[in-house]
Amino acid sequence: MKHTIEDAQIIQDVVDRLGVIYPDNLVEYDDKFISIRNVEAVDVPNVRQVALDQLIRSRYDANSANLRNMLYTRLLR
Amino acid sequence: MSSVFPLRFRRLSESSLVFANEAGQFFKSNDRFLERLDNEKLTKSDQEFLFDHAMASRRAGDINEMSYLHRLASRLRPPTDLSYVILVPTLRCDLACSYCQVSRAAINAKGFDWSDETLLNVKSYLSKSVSKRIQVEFQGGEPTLRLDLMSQIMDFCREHFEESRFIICTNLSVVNEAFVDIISAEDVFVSSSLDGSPDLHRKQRTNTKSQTDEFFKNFSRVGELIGDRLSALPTLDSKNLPAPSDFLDTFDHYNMRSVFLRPVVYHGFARKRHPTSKDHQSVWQKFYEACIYEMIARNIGETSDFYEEYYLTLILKRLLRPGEDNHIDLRSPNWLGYDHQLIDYDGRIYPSDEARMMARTGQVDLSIGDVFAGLDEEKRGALQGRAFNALDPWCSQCPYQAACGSDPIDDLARHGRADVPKPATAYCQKHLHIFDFAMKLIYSEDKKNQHSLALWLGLPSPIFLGDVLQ
Repeated sequence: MKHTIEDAQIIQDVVDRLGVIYPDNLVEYDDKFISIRNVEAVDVPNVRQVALDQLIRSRYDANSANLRNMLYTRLLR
Repeated sequence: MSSVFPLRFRRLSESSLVFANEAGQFFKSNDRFLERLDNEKLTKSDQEFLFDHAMASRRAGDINEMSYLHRLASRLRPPTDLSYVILVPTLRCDLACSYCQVSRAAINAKGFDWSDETLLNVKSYLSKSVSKRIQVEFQGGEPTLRLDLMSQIMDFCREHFEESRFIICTNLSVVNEAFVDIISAEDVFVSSSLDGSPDLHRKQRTNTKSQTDEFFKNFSRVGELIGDRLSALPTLDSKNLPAPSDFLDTFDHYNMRSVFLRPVVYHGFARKRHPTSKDHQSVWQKFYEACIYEMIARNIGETSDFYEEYYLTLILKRLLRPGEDNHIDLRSPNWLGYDHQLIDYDGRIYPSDEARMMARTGQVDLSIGDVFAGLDEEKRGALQGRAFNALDPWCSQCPYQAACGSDPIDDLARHGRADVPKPATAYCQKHLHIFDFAMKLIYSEDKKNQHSLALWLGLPSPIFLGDVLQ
């Protein structure tokens, strides 16, 4: 499966996590696409969904990290 | 709107997702909302929903932010004084269960009981470490082989602490008059093992017909003597699971409708004798859900004497009520070796029963001191590195993190290390399944499910507990 994305840190996080989720598949990034190789045809829709969800999750996590830190700072103040 | 408190999400089905924040508030929605959240294009109605449910603030320090921080704080329990102690007066046992988690010693073995000096030091340690209330769980081996030691500890606790409660974990292979005398006190509870029908119990535990008959005779007798102060835990082999209805019938026969469904745990002897016990998750999960649905069906029309699965009820409470954090397997931060300790037959102190098992099987010594020299604060401190699941890179993206826990000792036992990525751990896989299943029940429109949920949570029935954002 392939999907276009941009931010390097987020991409690396997505690739690392997909590698854990699918330890038997090769997960790669080639400057433009994340690829998960050797996926059974019947599993492709599910794997594609997991990968897209992980991309959104990692991106949202990165974008909300400052707010999370700020809330903890206020809690511990 | 200034900010939405950071959300995490997980897919419940192809078209529905659960969203939750770190303070434990959650709701169900869909991919359209996820897209709007991701693109920072929330609609006015999204914003109103989030603000009305106190999941977003309009400005720093407003009432919603204060409320969020209060909820977050109520999920973070500080370490507290010792109040729950597992005592092992002897490691000897008169049975040899194949999945014994402790590697018990033979019935006539020498050197596996507390000495007089150890007993004296256990009392001294307790008097220094416990403040007002104590709950003592006697484990083994088979602790009833040393009724004398148990009696002395009970007398000591009743004299020294404001409130004491005792749980004797026993195989009930022998019930003599001295034992009956001990359990007649109202502060003494008995916990035994009941794996299901007599046939299944014999195969897994008692081996012979005479020992099995003796156990069931003793179990009935103790039940008649102390009523609901007797409880029973099953240990189930995923390769040999009973039919849910037969299984519940056995417990119902003894008027026990709150059941804690547990598969063989991958510790101690079980690690060697049931090597595939860690590979049967899907079989176990199907059995688990079938049992819950059987309970739900039996609960129709019930108002008080209802069936429940102990751990599912605990998970539902953790999802819905901040502060439900007394179970050592399901809390975060899970401060190891503070409020909960085990003192072994040789006086060594461990943070949990599982930690003792690992030392006994030679995997790693996780003792944190002994009753002679006291606690080793440095060793105890070293165990806390993974106590807080919010700091884990996987948990911090999980919508169930606020209600879930952390069990680095289980990770060590199963995987040989405590830094395994969470999705690869048995702990995470087990809990994701139960949390997903709990969400399925919470968002079910079936009145039968809603009725049981209300019974388990002590709420009026039927009840629909889940918020939904369309």
